[in-house]
Formats: sequence, structure tokens, C-alpha cells
Amino acid sequence: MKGYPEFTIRPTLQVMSTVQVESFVAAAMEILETTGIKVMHPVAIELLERIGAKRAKGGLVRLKPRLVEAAIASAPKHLVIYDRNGEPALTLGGGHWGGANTYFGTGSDLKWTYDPITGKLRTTLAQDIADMARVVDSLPDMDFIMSYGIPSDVPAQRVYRTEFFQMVANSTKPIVFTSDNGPEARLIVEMAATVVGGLDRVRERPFVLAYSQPTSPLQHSQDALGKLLACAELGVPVCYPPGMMPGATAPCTMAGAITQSLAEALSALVIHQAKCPGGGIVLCGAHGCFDMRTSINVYAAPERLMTQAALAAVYQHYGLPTWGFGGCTDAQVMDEQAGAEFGLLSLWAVLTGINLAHDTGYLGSGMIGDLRAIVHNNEINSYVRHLLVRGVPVNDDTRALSAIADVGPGGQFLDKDHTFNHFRRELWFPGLSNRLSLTAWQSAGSPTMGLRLGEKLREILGTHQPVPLDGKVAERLRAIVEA
Amino acid sequence: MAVEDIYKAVLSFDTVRTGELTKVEVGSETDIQQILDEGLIAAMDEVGTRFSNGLLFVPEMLMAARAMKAGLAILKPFLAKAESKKMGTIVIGTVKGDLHDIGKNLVSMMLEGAGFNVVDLGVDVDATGFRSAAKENSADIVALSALLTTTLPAMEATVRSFVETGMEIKTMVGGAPVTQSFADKIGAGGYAGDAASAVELARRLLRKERRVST
Repeated sequence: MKGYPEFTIRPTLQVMSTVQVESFVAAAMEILETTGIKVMHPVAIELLERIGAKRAKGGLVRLKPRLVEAAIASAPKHLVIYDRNGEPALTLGGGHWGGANTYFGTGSDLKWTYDPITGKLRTTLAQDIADMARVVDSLPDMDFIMSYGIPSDVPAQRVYRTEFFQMVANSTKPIVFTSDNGPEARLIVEMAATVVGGLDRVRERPFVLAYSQPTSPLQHSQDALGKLLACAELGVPVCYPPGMMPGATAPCTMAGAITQSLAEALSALVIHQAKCPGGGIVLCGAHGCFDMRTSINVYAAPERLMTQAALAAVYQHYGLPTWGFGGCTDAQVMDEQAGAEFGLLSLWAVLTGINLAHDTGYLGSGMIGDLRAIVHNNEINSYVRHLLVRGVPVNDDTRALSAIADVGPGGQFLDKDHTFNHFRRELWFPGLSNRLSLTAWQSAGSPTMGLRLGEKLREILGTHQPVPLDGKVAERLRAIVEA
Repeated sequence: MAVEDIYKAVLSFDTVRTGELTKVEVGSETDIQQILDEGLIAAMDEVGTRFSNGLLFVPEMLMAARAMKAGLAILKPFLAKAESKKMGTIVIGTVKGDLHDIGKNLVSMMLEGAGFNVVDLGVDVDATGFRSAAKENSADIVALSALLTTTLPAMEATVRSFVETGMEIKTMVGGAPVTQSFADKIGAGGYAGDAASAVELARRLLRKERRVST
């Protein structure tokens, strides 16, 4: 037995060279220095002027490259997100870890839902958010939660606080919350503080992140910045990924869209770090793609995936935390297109090393929720992680030279110790995907994946009990929601 | 037939040629209405049909609209006031509290391509803004757009304010969070789910409005 090397096979995607990354950032900085961006929040404009940005008419601000460089330098490259119990759950930033710090979460604010019992399409209700949170809570390959629904059965002013309440009451997993403006974001952070016993605790062990976005092209609205600034002030991490549509609100070329996205996100970074140097922020991209036939903002276009890879490469170069997409589909229903797109996008999330892969389980180009889609993606995520994150450990034991020698030509491995010792870790065990032969499958009633997903969902909804909130805490949260 | 050449120029997305041919036709004293109807509007109708059938895409449709507008600009001074009014005036904007305008911009461009006179108020427009613009421009239709669900109350308030002032005007609404049932609930004249149907809706509303006032 010779001294063969020990290693793990973990292929990673090489997207761009350092020079290529830096050329994109330079071009983005050129946009900020010449065209500038529209900043629609007076406090943000004041902050920018104080650090040397030039204000022009109509809220337009121009930033010199040194401001962007300083912001990149001060932003944290290592952001730990905790769960509701104060345990570390997610580690963001630090470059491309080959998927080891790629986390999957749902998306927010879906208008429509396929009813989990009747299968009928209807408007989303507050209960759907609670159910979703419970489902995500139960699934090992779903890691964080967004509301997945906009509750149509609560008054407009209670929508976001209701979303947060339903999420935090039905899961201990980290939450990325949406809100319509700064004051609502503050209120939700107050709710989070109520849960863990004070704002200090939220700061020390953040289990919530706020979500906000610029308005492409090149605009930061008052409400978007209101949320960003509120969170910077409170010490809560914020996600601020640009959501442009190439061809409509960004250049049609992916290279142009990437450059504009960087200009928007990096200018937000400057504002954020000016308010709170060292404050946690997650950037990269939440962009779609404008379908030129149907005018729909689509999620699964290959060009969208490519911009995600390129943007991730840029932020990973600087060690900054990244936002992107998990398995979601432009299909309106759980059909073959949905399955294909879930698979492609989940694989891509891990290959591109995105930290927070959101919108997992989205149907209908970001309009429809179906809890079975979350269960499906959980399975796919598990597969992809086995493939790319576990990889293939290569050592004397796994190289199996002894076992091969013992078994010899014409032997078999089934009843050997080596197989017994390794099979549970080496092989991926599908929870739901079919592995039966045709006759066995027919004997089982010819169940489709859709059927099996439905059964699994019903099982989860019928049995999974998340760790409940303390009764008094729940009461105080309800009081805030109903105030 | 030279008017047919104008029609072809629009369908070839050729802005320069459309303008030049229109000038030539006007100079040859061809009937202005004929140039408008058979050369320009008919071409955009065909563009609309091809788009609906998946043969043309949005950027091509907008390029054809640009060509059509070049021709229209040549015709405008010669169109009698009554004829110009006949084309219909639409005031369009994104409602108060909302900055999103890409959908509205697309609808705006398509309506212009269809021959409407469009007054685009931009974004974050309140009810008063819509009403005064509608009055100033003697608008036939007011079109409201929104992306954010939180701005739907503003859309409702704007539509209701038109009803309350008793202005003889049709309202139409659209945008990602808007639905037919919401439009019905707030008393809007119509709802369109995309830019092409918005043009169809505008034409229908204009015909209705014309019937009522005559």
C-alpha cells in the first residue's frame, strides 16, 4: 500500500478571473461617478454629502471610486446568522465555499396559493404563512424563511407584521422579513426583540434580516432606504439586492445588467456603511429577466442564472455575503417544467456558492405558492448538497484497495464489511424520488412524484410541532400586530 | 401604391423611411386620413397581430411604434382638430406612492403606436394630478398603473375621485397586483393584464365613450 494522497473531490465553478471581476467593478464605479444615482431619502443624501459625494439636481448623487472602495473595505466579510434559540445557523460571506455556505429559503409575499387540501388556486391567507413556516421548520435542507405569502385576510396596515408573527411563531429558523417602509421595519425588529428578550440580543445573535431593494435603473426610493437605514441604526443585517429586468429596467446585454446591478448595490453599500460602518449587509442580485414575448419578469431564464454567477463571483472576490435564488419556476403549476427548473436552479445556487438562495418553491414567476414545491426542493437540495458539498472523500479507506483485493475478480461487495461501513454516508437516499422498478411501482399504485409530495406534505402538516413561542411572548406579539 | 410603402416601412421598423415616405405622400396631396388609417394605424394593427401570434417581440413592436410616430409627426399639422381629437387622448401614470413605471411605459408606447394621444404623468401621481391633467387635456381615458400592493388604496381613491367629480371619463387599471375583480370592486372602467390587451381595452372604452356622448 503506497502513500496515495488524501483529498475530497469538490468541483467548483470558475466564473471570472480577478482582472475580469475588477473590470466590472471599475465600470460600475464609472457609472456612479458620471451618471450617478437617484437617492430619494434626505438622511441618505446628507450622509453621502458628509463623506464627500457630490449632489446634483433632483436627488442625483455622484460617488467617487474611493467611497465605494472604502465601503467594500468596511463591510463585514463574515456574518453569522442565528436561529430563534440563539444557536449559530448560517455563516455568510468569506468567498466561494463551494456550496458549503449556501442556504436555501423561501421567498416572500406571494399573492396566490394552491390550497394544500383541495389543490385549488386561491388568494393567500395568514394561515398559509403559518403552514409554510412549519413545513420549512421540519425540512433538513431548507434553512431560512421568508413569508411565502401576502395575507389577503388582514387589513393592509397589518400585512407585514402579520407575516413576521406567523413566521416567528411557527419556526425557529432564521427569518428574512419584508416591510413597506422604515417604521414598519422598526416595528418588526421590535417584535424580534420581544421574542429573544431585547434589542441587544437581536444585535448580538441576529436571527432576522430585513429585505429591501433599489428601484432600477439607478434609484434608491425613500422607503427602500428607510428600511436600510433603520436596520443599519438598529444593528440588524439588511439584504439589498438589485431586482432589475434586463431589457426593460437594465440593459438587454447581461454584461450591461451586471454592471448596472453593481452600481446600484455598491452605492447602497456606501450609504449603509456611512450610517453604520461594519454593519451586516447582503448584496448580489434578486434580478429577473423581462420576457420579450409575454412581458413577464421571469425567474428561470438561463441568462438570469448567468448574471447570478457573475455577480456572485464579484462579491465573493471581496468576501461579501451574497443573495440569490433557489429552485423556483415560471410554470404556473407543479408540472414537468417546474421540476426541471427547480433542479437547474438548485444546482446553480450551490455551484455559484450563493449564501442566501431565496424564492425556493416559488411558482408562476413569483406569484404562486404551493407547499409541495418546498418539499420537492428540499429533496433536490439534499441531492445537490450530496453531489457538490459532500463531494467524494478520497482516502485509503474509501479507495478500498484492501476490499478490492479481498473480493478479487468475479467476487461481490454486497455482504462485505466495507460496504456495510460506508453505504449510509456514501450513497444519497432519496426521500421521495422513485427508485422502484416498473412492476414494483405499479404494485404500489403507480404513484407520481406529485402524489408522493402531497402525501409528505400532509404528513408534515399533520405531525410537525415547531418549538412554540413562550405564551406571554406570543401574547405581546399579537398585541403589536393588532394595535 | 405609396401608402402601402408606408405600411411596409412601419412593418420593417424603418423610422427614417416611414418619415420620408409620409412627407412624399403629404406633398403629393394624398388624403391625410388615408395615410393615417391605411399606412400607419393599419401597420400597427398588423404589428399587434403578429405580436399576439408570437412572431414579433416587444422591442420590435416598439421599434415599429417609433416608425409609426415618425409618420404621425409629419401628419399632425395637417390633421383637422376634430380628426386629431377622434384619435383619443389618454392620461396615464403610476399611482401615488409607487415609483415603478416599466409596465406603464410599455403601455404608453403601445398606445401611442396605436394612434392615441398619450399624456404620461410619470410616477407617484395623486388623484388631483390625474384629474387636473385629464381636464387640461380633455382626456377620454385615464389609465392607472401600480406594482406595489400597498398602493392599491391610492388607485381606488383615484378611480373613486373621478366618479365623485362626475367627470365624463373612462378609467382603466393595470399592474402586477391588480386583478379584474379589484378593478370591478373599485368601479374602474376596465382592467388589462398586459400592454397589448391595454390597447384593445382603450379602443373599446373609446368607442363606448363616443357612443354615450353622441
